[in-house]
Amino acid sequence: MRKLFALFHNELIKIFSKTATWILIIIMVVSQIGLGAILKLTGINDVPSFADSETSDYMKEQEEYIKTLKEDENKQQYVADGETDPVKKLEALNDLAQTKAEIYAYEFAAKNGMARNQLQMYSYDNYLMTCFDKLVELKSGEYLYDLASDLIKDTVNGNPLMKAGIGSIINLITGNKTRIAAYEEIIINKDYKKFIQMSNDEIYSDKSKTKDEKDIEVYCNNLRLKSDPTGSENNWKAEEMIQNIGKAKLSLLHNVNYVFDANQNVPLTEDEKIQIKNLLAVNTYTMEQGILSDYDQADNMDSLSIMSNIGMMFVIVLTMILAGGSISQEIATGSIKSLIISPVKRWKIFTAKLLSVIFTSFFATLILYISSMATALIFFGKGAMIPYVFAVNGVAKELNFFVYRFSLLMVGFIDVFAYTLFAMMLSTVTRNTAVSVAAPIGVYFSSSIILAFTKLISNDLIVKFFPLTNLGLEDKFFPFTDYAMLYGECLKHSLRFSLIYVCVMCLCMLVTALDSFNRRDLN
Amino acid sequence: MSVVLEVKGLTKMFGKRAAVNKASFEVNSGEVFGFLGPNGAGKTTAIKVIMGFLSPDEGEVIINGTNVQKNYEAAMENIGGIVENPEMYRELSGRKNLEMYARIHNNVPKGRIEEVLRIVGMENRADEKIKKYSLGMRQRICLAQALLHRPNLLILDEPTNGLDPAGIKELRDILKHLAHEENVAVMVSSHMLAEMELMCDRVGIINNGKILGIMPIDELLHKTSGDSCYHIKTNDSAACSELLEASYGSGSVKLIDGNSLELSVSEAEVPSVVRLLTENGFDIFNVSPAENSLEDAFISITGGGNSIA
Repeated sequence: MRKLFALFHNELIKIFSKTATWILIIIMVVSQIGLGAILKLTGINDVPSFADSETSDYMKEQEEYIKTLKEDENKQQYVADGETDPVKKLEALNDLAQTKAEIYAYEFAAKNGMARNQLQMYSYDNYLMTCFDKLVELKSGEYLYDLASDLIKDTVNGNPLMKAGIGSIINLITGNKTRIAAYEEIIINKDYKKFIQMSNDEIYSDKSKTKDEKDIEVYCNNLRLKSDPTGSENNWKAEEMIQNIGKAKLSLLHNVNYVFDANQNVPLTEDEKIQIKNLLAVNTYTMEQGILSDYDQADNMDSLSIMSNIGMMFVIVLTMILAGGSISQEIATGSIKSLIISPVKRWKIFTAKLLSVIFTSFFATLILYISSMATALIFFGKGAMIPYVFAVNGVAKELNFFVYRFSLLMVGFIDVFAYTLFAMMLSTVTRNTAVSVAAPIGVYFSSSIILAFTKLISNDLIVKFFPLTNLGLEDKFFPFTDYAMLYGECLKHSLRFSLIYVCVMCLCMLVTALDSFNRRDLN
Repeated sequence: MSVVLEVKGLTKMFGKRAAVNKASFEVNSGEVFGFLGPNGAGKTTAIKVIMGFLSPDEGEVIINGTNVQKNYEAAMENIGGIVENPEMYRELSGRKNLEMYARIHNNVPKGRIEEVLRIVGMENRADEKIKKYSLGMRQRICLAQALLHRPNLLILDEPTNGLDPAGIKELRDILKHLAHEENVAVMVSSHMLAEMELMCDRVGIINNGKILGIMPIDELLHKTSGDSCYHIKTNDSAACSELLEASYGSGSVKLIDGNSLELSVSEAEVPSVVRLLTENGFDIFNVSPAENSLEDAFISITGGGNSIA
């Protein structure tokens, strides 16, 4: 053990005396700071708001659009006046009513200092857009009734079905006037709470749904109000979570999988039930506790993940350079000779080199963690540091942000370890530094392309036993991240299988490398 | 004197070619053993097998009574060496390299690094990085590393490479001191036969992987010639040569230069030779036995493929 430690100590001295080691670590730290600054400056995490937009330009655009709609209205009026066939006339009047409703809605928006087309820029869950759409829907019904009243009277008497149909339309329109006024009031006062209330009333009045289904929808609506009382945050992630909650609850209610891309004609399996309960628990806990970063507007990967992934690339490159050259470089230069004539067995030399590379890699990962956390704190503040919420057997739990991020890096380290062994195996077997460094780096950087190709393979067994599909275990250890839940990757192969596979793979590479180094002549 | 290194029936094959073929020899404590052979004879291969770089196909290597194949760490504990052109870690200083080596051994006391640096004459340059060293300086540092843990067996493959004449003399003095004063067994392979002649106590000659013979160096130098050979210094060696050829045969006379010639005769005939030359008017300045050089012995043995055993 003493000699092994002495060799390990020597290997560390060699590694940290190389300029390349320090250069890569420094570049990694600088990249974290640089990325943090760039992401902050480009506002990838900034919440877009109406104040940021050029409202006056949109208002002008809206004016022009209203003029266009009025021209369309005139044309449609002309067409409707000229139509003699009752059915075609009704259709033409329907188009005219629709246009008139659109004009009404745009003019209403203009009168209240809003540009409806501007709202469309943030149309994901903008309640005001919904209000305008509802306004158009309701007003078009009203207009149609006014425009087509004579036509309806003429046709009703001869057609009992039409009579019944028109009756319900009349009832609807009477009720619509109240609703139109309510929506207009919501738009004028930007009263999101009232919007939610109206939405809930509409849900409860829908006779096509069961009480449980209605309760689920109303619950989701109330969550929307709770997470965003003013309705102005446009938090798409929150909306996604709420939709997932709705789907999960419905899935458990109907015993059918609405959540993941699954066959909805078969009942849920026990595994699926647990997965859906866990998903429900995580999303519900997150929404109810208000654990949402201020910065969740971006793509699936938030800024911290981008920084972390790019930082990890440097760790991988550094590790591959060290591991790939560990044996082959020393054989090429001849410095291996002084090691070989030392009174130590070859396996100790190999082990010391492996441990020193792993240690250096871990050190670099630690530096990455500290620099990325510090950068995030400086540039994004505590608002971005949300805990990781997970669930076990349907019960939600929380993991501290810093612990979560560190654990994430450590799980990523499993990949680093596997690639290290791959590089060292190549180094001992091929004794060629270029191959030993380039091959693992090439595989690492093209892994996403390679994995994309595996998706084309229909044979699940081949895919299951393909090495790269069993690496990248972050989504399996932490399956409640956006990415994992969005793409359901966590469902594909179990964590246990992947861990066993990786262990066996690493063992094979270790044995191959050790055997090669131990037995081959060093000429 | 005790046997430190025993090589028994050592064979190393590269494909079908035997680079070392049933080689057997011993190196004793307190001697400098020269390992000689032409290029490609198998010297370096044999040394690499002894030091564990290569595994033997047959035979065994025993160092201080320990079989290298069976107990590598114990066997290598007291061995130091330089093989081919060793390299140290270029980004580190000479001193740092020695410290790293010392860390692996159990028995390197403080101050020993300074001591070996003084022995090899590198005490003033030890803190510079290896990449700034000349070839000779790197060779010295490698020697320092080999001596660091006071081995009782020192194996040096071409140790004089890159050394200037002063350095070569220093090395010779160091090795002779180690062997004769500190009782270290020293095994040296080299092509510099003149140096080996000055340094070695015993030599082993190898060619085509086979040991052709092992014996003390004095014995080797005298063994190869049949008749004695005498060096004669005279005022006109050409005319002397003609006269001597007439009496003793043309094959026995070898003209060296205008004043010197060599004559192969027995000791009993020397007085007759002197009388013949003086009676014919030649001045004789010196008559002395001419010794064979190691080079002559070496070429005659390895060139003719003769054994000297």
